Amino acid sequence: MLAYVARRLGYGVLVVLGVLLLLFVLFFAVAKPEDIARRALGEKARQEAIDIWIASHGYDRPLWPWQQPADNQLFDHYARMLTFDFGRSDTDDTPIARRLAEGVGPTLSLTVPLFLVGLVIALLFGLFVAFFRDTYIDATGVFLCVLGMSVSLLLYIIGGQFLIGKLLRWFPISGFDPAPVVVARFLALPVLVGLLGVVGGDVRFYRTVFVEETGRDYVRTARAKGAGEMRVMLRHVLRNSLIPVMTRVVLAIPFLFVGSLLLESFFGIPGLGTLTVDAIRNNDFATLRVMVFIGALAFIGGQIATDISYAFVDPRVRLE
Amino acid sequence: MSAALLEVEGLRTWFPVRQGLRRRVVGHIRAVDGVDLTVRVGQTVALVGESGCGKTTVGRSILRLEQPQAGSVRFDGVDLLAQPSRELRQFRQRMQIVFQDPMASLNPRMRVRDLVAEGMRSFGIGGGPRRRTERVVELLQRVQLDADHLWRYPHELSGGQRQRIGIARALAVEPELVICDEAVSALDVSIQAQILNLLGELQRELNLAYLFITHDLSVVRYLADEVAVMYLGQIVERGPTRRIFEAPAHPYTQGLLAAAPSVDPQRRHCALGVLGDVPSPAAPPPGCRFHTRCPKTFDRCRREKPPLYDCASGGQSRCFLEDPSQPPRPAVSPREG
Repeated sequence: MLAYVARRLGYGVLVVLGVLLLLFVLFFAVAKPEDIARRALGEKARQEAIDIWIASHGYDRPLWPWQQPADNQLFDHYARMLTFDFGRSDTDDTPIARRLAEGVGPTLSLTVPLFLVGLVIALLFGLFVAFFRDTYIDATGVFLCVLGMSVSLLLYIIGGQFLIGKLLRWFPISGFDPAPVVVARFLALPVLVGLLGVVGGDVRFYRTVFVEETGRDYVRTARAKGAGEMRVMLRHVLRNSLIPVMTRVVLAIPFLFVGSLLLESFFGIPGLGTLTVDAIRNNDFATLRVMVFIGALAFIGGQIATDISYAFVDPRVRLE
Repeated sequence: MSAALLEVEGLRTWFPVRQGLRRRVVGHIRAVDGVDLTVRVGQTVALVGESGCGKTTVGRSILRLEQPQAGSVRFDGVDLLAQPSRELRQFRQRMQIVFQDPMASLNPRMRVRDLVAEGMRSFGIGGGPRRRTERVVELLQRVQLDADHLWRYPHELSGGQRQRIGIARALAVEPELVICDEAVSALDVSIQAQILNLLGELQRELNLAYLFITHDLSVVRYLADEVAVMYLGQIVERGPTRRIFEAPAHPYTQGLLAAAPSVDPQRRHCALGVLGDVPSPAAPPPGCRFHTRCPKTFDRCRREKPPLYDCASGGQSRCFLEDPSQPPRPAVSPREG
């Protein structure tokens, strides 16, 4: 078990190193520091100012180690990313670490409720339609799910803002206030809209898993043993479906930290999603690099966590 | 003769065949099509037939694990098919089933203790959790498994051990009738013998009745008091085991016995073989269902459906050859296969 975890983490480190190389090629070798500087200083900045800016951000040094083994941007990039020393934003020189710390709270306050509520709803609704498989209840449920998946999230966002925010005035159209109770008023609408976008696909996935599981022989055995339908669905079907369910759930967890680009930027939530969107808009490569790196870390972490979680869910999986 | 414990009459379980986008019912698989069966207290009745003849569905329909469309299943005088599912659950304590596939029919994520104890839990027998564990240990000993298997998972057991778990599980709720659906078919012969001996012992100790569903005739001969032979959803012959084996009346039974391998070259049956393949249960042949494969077919077989006739030597056979009013059979040569 320990050896497996160690090996899995070892592979993870290799992938991270590869991702960093790719990032470097994309952001340093392709983007010209002059363009970044012009963005930051404005079109009319003088050449001396630009040169100073480039030098102060270290973009004037050689890119590759074979040009200068001691002081080059590639090694510097690796060293800083791996020590989580993210440096400063290209546009306004604020420390990126501070931006991240500021953004992670609002992001989590949106993504965690969305994730938990979505999980419970999707699992229960999935069990419900699976229990009524091949009936009109099932067909209607699946139709609604496909409908929900097919409509763009943008429509839910704008429609929700118009209907609930403007016409009904239940919740504010957009904005954010971190005060404990007030924040719920601002988050209700984005969470609701996010659910519409997410739940359909999840329900369909879970339904397939559950329907497959309800057809198994041991489910018939459970009924023969006199287990009630509730117990059959929860104890037998749900628990045996946990592997595929787990895969989907654990994989999603790291992305809670990355945030939702669309939801955050449309609802004015100053989280990591908004940070990323702003970085893209302003050609803030330093911030963007960090966001991509964090996204990759989240993904790799999710994969590893999924594999390890199997061992806890399924007694048949022995990690050797 | 002991009292009837289970009486099945006119049992019919058809599975709808759906097709097309709107999933319309275009036909039915007539898995079970009018089956009568009686099992007495403490008795073993074997239900035999080829795969696909509906014998498994009979077993499941009796327990209402499949929903039959017609007929009656009286257990101790109460018609189970008329019971609402709440009441039905109580009867599941008194009739248990051992399934064919010992791996698939055990929940892979439950330990032996819970697999065996779940039935007790459903019916609130065996006291609290600790008492139940003790009882599971007793049951394991009864099926000749060590108590240290208690906390294992099914995948950690061998096929024979799993099947014993399946039996212990069925016995846990102290049933009066156990339906064994090919309970030993998946096991190799030495383990088969062990399990069969075990079933016999348990029957004598607990006065169990068995409905033994199998395609293996040697098992039947060893275990059963009575045999019912099934073909395409119907019983074609039934009677005391000895009579069936020594003087099979129905041509299908004769064919089955002839096809069964025997270790004794002297005891080879020399009945005519069964011809061709089983017709589809979605469209059973008109007249006698067996006439398409029967080496003794004559005109009447294609026109009329034979009822079960009483045989002179005991039991019943669904064949016009047993009809007392049937004129002596015209000499028809067996059809060319």
